[in-house]
Amino acid sequence: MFKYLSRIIAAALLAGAVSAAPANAADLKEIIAAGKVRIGVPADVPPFGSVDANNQPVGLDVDMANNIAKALGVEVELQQITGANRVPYLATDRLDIVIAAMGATPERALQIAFTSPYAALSIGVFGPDSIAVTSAAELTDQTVAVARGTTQDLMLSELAPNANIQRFDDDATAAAAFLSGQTQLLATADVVAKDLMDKNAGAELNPKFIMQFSPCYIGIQQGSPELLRWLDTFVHVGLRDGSLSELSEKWIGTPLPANFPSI
Amino acid sequence: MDYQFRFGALLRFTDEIVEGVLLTLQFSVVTMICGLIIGLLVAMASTGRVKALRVAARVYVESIRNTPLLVQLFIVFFGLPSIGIRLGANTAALIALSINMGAYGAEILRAGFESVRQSQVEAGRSLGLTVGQTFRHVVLYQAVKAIYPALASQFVLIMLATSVVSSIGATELFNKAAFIDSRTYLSFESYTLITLSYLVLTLGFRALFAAIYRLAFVRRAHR
Repeated sequence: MFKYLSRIIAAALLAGAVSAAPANAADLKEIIAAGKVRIGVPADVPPFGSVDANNQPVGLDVDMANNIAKALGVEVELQQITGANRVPYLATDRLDIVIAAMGATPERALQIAFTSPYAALSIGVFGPDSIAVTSAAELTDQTVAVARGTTQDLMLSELAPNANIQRFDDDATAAAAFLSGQTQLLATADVVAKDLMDKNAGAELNPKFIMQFSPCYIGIQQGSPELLRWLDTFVHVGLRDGSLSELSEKWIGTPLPANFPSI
Repeated sequence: MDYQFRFGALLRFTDEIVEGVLLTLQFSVVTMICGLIIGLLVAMASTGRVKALRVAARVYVESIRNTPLLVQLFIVFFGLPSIGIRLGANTAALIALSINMGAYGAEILRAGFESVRQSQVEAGRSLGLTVGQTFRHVVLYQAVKAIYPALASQFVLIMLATSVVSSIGATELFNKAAFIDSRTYLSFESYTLITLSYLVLTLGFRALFAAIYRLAFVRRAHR
């Protein structure tokens, strides 16, 4: 029922976009001619996008938006968007670009176009430098805290069946076990590891190995082949010169993996 | 209401369940013994002549009996590392459980000591028994006989309370059930299975306590 309803709504939105702005998607030339680019960023998804104490947007996606505008040589017009409205914003031509920790799916790609990924969220095992572990197979008697039943628990149990895994009721208790020194390592998301380090002076949560990562993609309107090509080039160059990896390290706490995928 | 139970899917976790039962059993027995020793010492202190010891015993009993076991557990496991005392989950669980059991045991034993009248002690002393002999044969024997049902009941309660220690990652029976649940999503089956396990353990302990009572108090009284 809901699936049916959401299809009708999506179809209505698409029809609206098509009838209201037929072939009106701002491509690269129009953006440069207008001297400004409209970019949507999240306001409630730290570290990708949130507002600081002065009510200014900050985050990885905000930095990314500013870098793109700078490289285009135009002004940036930032619009705060949510997970629910980011696709409609593009489909109705209110925005040129959405950078919002967005995952790519074939369903979404029917409505908007995705560039190559520029960042990733990852799940892994974290701990101090003094513990020399670089893969799940090397885990033997080191103790690892993890929240029971989570993706990281299931993956770690499968990758390292003989590891000394200590399972707790939730993420907060697992983190407490690591922080109080009850376990030597912590299996969690990289964003959580970074947050724990920021809030606890002396906590050392450096990545030991990554078990899974979910790439984030930039979304644009369909029908803008020049803009899509330019953004892909921008991301490609950023991957090669290490600037995207630096951005990831700054906000997420871990650099991008060496074999980072492209569309 | 047409839920199909799938206990067969839990068969591959037999080892886990057995491990859990054994650890719960171990926790229970060690806690009962340690708790009883702590309780005896504290009860003697709280009915003794030294005021400092009496005050210390009261502080211990009141602070433990009036706070949740879960909080005591978290203090031992997550709190003590801050002052350099780092205990494994199972050790921390045993210590917290024993401290908890000790406070309840002390209060029950104290009531038992107080139920033995002063004239009994005087009678024992006038028959030529030493202070130690009077305590053992006159006070302790009668006191324990009087409070035995309460003590046995407290033992069963602490056995059931061991399920709380799974929250610090001790891998006893409840922890195993939560683990199996997280892998199979068969919550009803997992928890029904350990409900039965706890029931068997409880009934076993009750039968054991009844047997001990008969051996220690009933037969001896006939002699």
